[in-house]
Amino acid sequence: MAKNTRPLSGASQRKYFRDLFRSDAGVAPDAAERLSDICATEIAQIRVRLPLAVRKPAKPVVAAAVQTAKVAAVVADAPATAAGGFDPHGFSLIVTFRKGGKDALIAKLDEVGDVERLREIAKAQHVSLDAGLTDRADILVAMVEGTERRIAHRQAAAS
Amino acid sequence: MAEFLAVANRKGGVGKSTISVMLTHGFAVWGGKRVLLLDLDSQCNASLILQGGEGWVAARKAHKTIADYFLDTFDESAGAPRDYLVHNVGDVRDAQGKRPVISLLPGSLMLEDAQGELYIKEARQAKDPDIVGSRVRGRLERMIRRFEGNYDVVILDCAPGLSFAALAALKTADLVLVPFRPDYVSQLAVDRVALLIESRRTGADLAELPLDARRYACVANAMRGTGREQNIYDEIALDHPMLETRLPQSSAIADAFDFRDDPRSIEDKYGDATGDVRRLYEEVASRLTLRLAA
Repeated sequence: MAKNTRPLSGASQRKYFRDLFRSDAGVAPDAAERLSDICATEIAQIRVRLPLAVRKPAKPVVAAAVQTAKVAAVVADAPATAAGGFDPHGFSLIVTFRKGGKDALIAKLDEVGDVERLREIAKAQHVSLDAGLTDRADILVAMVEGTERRIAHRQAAAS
Repeated sequence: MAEFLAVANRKGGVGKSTISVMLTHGFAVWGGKRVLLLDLDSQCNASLILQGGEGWVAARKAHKTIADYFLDTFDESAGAPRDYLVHNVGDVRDAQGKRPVISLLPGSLMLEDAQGELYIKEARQAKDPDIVGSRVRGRLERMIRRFEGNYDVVILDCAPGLSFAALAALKTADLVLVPFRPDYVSQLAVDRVALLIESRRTGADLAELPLDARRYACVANAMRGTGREQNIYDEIALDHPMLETRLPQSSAIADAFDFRDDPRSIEDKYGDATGDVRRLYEEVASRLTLRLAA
């Protein structure tokens, strides 16, 4: 069960509620906003089903690791229009940082559900991330720092 | 007076020559303009696309190449520029079935050597390397401008790297088109060539110049429509003016540059990519008009 679901909390949970209510034609826009606010206030954490396209079948540990790497490689080059699946290029870390600064990037990353997806984004967008990091907050900070380093590399290259 | 359009990037393999040729065809056929292409790249790809291998060899034997032109007329006292041109090149016809007005100053494998000779020649007059380099570039610039009376559009297909000829072309151009492929090193190359075009030392200096006041525009080439490419495009667009037109990675475009002896319509030549080529031409023509009006 756990492999086909992911936990949501905070900003990503609020976004989930908003998208869910907005997607229902029978719920008026202002009602959707109100409901999502209420749910976000009253519920600390939820667990949602992953779309079929991104569910991982149960496999032996070693084979699963290889498969994950292959999937990540394929996803890294997959078209942005891939319907339903997770796209690690769905937004640019650099563009988000440069347009809105550190806070905007953290907020955007916070909308991403689980840590594995954050890792996928970091890998696809060539941001170094220590494999030993497990805490979500540490990973977010590391991704912001990695993004800053990528920007610095580009600026240095043009000097 | 001619409008000068340079197609440049210090990085190779980004599509400078193919885009130069697309625009040559576009301005001549759809725009009805008299177009001259100066092949400033010793790879000579634009020349080979426009006149085929045999035509290019014939031009070399007749001493009608960019290297001959630069060497023979460097002192600006001898030789008529028109004598070095090859006329009615290209393998397309216009809507009336006639050959559009396309002339070519063919490329030369000896262009780098020729520029070296010109540098040595100029160094006899001055010792400071910066002054010598500046004079060589200035002379080449004047030599490029000598064609402006006889054409509506002069397209300068620049070599990768930083030759005197490329620098002269960048100085001469009313508009510089910077093709790039959506990858990491191309992104860095765009940053560098932009500094050169706008004569700025750093990215911070360049950022002070509004995007709509820049003399260049970038065009994405060989796009496959992936999210990664879109991110790179967006990252470049933060710092540089971009054309809305994006050229896809397309076999129709690749096939179009195989020279044929029998001229055909531009639609036949570019096949499924005709719409992309037309959009590119129309957007560049519009930008050029805006630049000249500014």
